[in-house]
Amino acid sequence: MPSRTTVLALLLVALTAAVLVVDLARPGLAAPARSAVAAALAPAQRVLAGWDDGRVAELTEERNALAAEVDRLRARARDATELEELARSSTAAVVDRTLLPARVVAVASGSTPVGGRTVTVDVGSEDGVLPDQTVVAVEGLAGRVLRVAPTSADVLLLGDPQVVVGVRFGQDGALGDVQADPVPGLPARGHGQLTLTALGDTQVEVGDRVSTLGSPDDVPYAAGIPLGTVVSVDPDRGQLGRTAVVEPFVDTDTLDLVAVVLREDG
Amino acid sequence: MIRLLGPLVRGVLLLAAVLLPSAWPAGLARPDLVLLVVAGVALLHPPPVGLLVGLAGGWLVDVVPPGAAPLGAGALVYAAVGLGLGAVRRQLVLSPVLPWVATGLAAALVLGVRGVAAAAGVGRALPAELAWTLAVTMLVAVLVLPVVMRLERWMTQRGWA
Repeated sequence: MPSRTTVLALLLVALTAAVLVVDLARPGLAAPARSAVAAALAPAQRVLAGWDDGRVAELTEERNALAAEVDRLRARARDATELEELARSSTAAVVDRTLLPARVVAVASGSTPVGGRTVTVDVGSEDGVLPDQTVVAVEGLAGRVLRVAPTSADVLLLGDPQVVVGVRFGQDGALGDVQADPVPGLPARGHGQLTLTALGDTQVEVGDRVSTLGSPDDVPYAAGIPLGTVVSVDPDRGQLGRTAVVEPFVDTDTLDLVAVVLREDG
Repeated sequence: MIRLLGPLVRGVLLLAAVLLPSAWPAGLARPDLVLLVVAGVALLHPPPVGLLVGLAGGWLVDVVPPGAAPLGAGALVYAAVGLGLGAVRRQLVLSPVLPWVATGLAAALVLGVRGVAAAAGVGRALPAELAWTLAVTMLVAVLVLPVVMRLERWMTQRGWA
């Protein structure tokens, strides 16, 4: 006759396995539970992450917001000249954006079975954050919002296997995409480095700047946000498009103060 | 009633283990504190207790923001660690170093699962990151593991658990 503890343990393991299967089949079902836990623990995480000097944080926040604003204005100025040249409108970068400063309060555990790169920030749906909004740091693109709770939000960072960003690169703004997973058979990537795959037969050169292409309504990525630079071009080993190694501007390991790009309606 | 105090204290320890990494300096590899708490409890009790504590710790890792996907995978891995350490606890009394070595092996197992999953195309893990996490966890274990085990012994003596 097994003890009560054993029976309870076996029951709970079976229940956990059932939840795992259900979550794999329907990933969205657990959202209310995650949101409830996030709402309950957000104050504790905020306190634990904010033990350093508040004034420094405030000023850094301000500096980040201003630097991001400069990036935005530069992108708009460039867009404006391009628009004049083209004399017709583009799909992106014609909407006004505002930046909501946020602070990283928790980082995903490094020991979970499925490795991902997510962080929690201290703004949520009460501040107007919605899933799939762009998240930037002072240096450039950081990631996108994955889940939103009332007072916190989980952010999927560049370098997570789920993140694929449409980009423009080089002088002429050629198209491509950037993601973390390297194409099999190519040289190994260093820590934090990403893979750029060019669309079509465009030449990629070392030193090319890579910035986001943008999507309609800025979801999931706003246009013209700097992402990184090309540090080396892969040899041609039969891959479909040309590929290159991109060193992102933002170091996601030391991310602290970020901003969520909110769309300004009207 | 008094037997509920032990599980309560363990719950608080696990919650602290999940939340404390928020205060860890950015850029440094984070120790796996949850694993240390699970190991500290599992090394002193029969396997089902370790399994339950592992399950609870894993669930916290999975749901406390930013959490992990899929839900329940972390819980099962930590439960396996609790079960395994509970099963070998009697062989580890020969030397005070053995619990630390066993905990290191458990941490390596947990990180190994992550590495193998990434190699199979699920998630992403860099070997250097896994190695750093293991090294920092082992280092912190030197301090944390004896403290958790002493607390657990003290609670057992008082009939709390």
